[in-house]
Amino acid sequence: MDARVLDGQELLAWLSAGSEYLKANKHLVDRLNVFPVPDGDTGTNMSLTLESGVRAAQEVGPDAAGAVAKAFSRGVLMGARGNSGVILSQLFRGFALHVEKAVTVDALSFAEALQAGVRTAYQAVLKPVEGTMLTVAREAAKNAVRSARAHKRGAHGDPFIVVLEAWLQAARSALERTPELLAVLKQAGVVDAGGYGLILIFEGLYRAARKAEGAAGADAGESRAWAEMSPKDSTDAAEHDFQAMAGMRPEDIRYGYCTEVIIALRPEAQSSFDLAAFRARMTRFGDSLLAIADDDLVKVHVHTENPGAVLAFAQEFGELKRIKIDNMREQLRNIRKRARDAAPAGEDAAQDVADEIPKAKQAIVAVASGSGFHRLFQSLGVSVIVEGGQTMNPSTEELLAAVRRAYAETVFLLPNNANIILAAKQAASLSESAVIVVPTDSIPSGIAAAIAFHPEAAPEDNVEKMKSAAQAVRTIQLTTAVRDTEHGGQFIKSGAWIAVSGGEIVAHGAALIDVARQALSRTVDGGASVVTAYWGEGADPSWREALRQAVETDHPDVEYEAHEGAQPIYPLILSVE
Amino acid sequence: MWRMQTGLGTVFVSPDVIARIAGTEAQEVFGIIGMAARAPWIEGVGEWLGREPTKRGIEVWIEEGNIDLTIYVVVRYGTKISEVARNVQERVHYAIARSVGVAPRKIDVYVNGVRL
Repeated sequence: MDARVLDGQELLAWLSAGSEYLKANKHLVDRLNVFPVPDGDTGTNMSLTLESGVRAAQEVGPDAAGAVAKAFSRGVLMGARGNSGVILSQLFRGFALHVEKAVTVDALSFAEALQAGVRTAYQAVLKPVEGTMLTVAREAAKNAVRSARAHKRGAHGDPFIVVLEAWLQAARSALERTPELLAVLKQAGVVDAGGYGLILIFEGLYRAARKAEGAAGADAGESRAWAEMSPKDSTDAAEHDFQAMAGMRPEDIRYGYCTEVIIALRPEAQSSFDLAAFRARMTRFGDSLLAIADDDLVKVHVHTENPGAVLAFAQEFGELKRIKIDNMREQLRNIRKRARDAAPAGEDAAQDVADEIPKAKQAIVAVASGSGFHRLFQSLGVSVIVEGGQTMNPSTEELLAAVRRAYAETVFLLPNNANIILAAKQAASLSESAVIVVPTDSIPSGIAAAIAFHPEAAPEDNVEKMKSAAQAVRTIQLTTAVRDTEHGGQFIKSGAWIAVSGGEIVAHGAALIDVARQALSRTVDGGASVVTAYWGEGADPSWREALRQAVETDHPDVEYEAHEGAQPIYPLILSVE
Repeated sequence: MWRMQTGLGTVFVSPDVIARIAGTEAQEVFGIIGMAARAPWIEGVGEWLGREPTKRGIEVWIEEGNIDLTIYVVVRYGTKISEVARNVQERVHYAIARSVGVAPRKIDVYVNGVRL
């Protein structure tokens, strides 16, 4: 029968070893910390709590085991930090009360003291949560007592080693089960941090016990596997982003920084904060935009090339609470490297490398409908054409996207329809590039503006020239009346041709050519030099020659041009400039 | 009522809900062995001020979009009271921020009793 007992000095050495071992590994515990508050400080708190106990025990000097335990317990109590620290303090308080009067402690009373600690700890909580350090301590102590009793009935070897091994074995399997008992752990894919911390302390004790016993190569590193764990952050959008990035090249990523920020809205901004407008304004920074808000917090996630600009913009609304910026190109490079290392060579998602194209100085975005007008605008050097017009107004969003595609420092936006000017102005106010809306209210005025544009000229000069060119154009649009109507005291029958200019019906009649002639004679004055006809869908081929002859007859001084606009709704659009 | 404006409308959260969350969380904090009745010296003040007291040991005050809580607890003798109280604050703060979506502005903890 081994009669090994623990005196005060040895107990202190063990406790110090436990404290040291935890301290050395506290970061592993911190990393697992998701409950009760995921602040990543469980290991640190436990370690500081224990250190306070060790210091207090050292102060009493070599003494009886009971005195050391009591001093240690008081130190732990005073130094308790965090929830885990308070739990530890109760475990040791119960332990110390149990051995208070003992000079030396044998293995059985050591185990029983551990169990007393568990009882004390459970008394200190109204509603114990299972799946925590408490569960681990309870299961471990129970097993320790059982094995101590068994050992006492006649086993060999160091009873403390037996007890500590029993404690560790039960503790590990209890820790393994903590995710089953506590859902938040399971969700995060971790075991309980406090439970792990407690095991580390006892591994330190075990090592000290083995060393004292003289055993070589004491190794308690069995639970190191948990050290590899780290909680999954289910809200981490970057995680999901990677799924979409598979097979991409780092160079393919247009917006390289996954930027997340939480804004604590300034009090005065809280009531006026408009999430939709905020989102729209955020779109200029990049894509994969996510913005959610409540009364005073806004969480933003965006992929951008310019995280600094995002932060600066966010800061306009209030304090930045949490900032997370990941370089996705770097992450993707790492993923690809891992994939390459894992997979045989040769498998490469061959995609062309998009060169880093510098932004153009100036570009034009125009709204137009009709394949002819698209081509026309393209031939005039318009970078991006947004499909839209009278019956189909593009949204601010579509205009913004077009502005982004234009990829220029200054973008001239030609709405080419009175109904689209407002959306264009909205897009301009939301865009990160300088966007200048030239308020063109018709396709011909847009064409005139596009012609006036000179890529080498200064933007200010271009604005002036484009605006005055647009204003100089008078547009006449011809279509048929969709219903009977009255205009200027005259009835216009449904199906009759009408000519609209400046929002007014300037002429109407049964034949297109006649109506066009009437409208032109009201519009063409001494200053006019060019009449341009844009033929639309459904224009009769015979009208082309008829109109040309009519214009040459009526206005011999002006030049006549004709283009195929292929626009819907208006079979003929005339411009006079 | 606490209101939260989202992109789709307004979410209203009753103080009762917040109190229940706070109470549930506080009771699970290690070292807490009971919820106390509200402090006698301020009993009724909440009502006078037109505030709505709720749930045993928990008062929730919602003013101008801020959530303030007062929690009355009994702690276990032999625990570090300041730390236990702080743990109550942290845990309740976290739980409400997490489930309601906004962090309380203030959580006052009154330790009204200590039990052996």
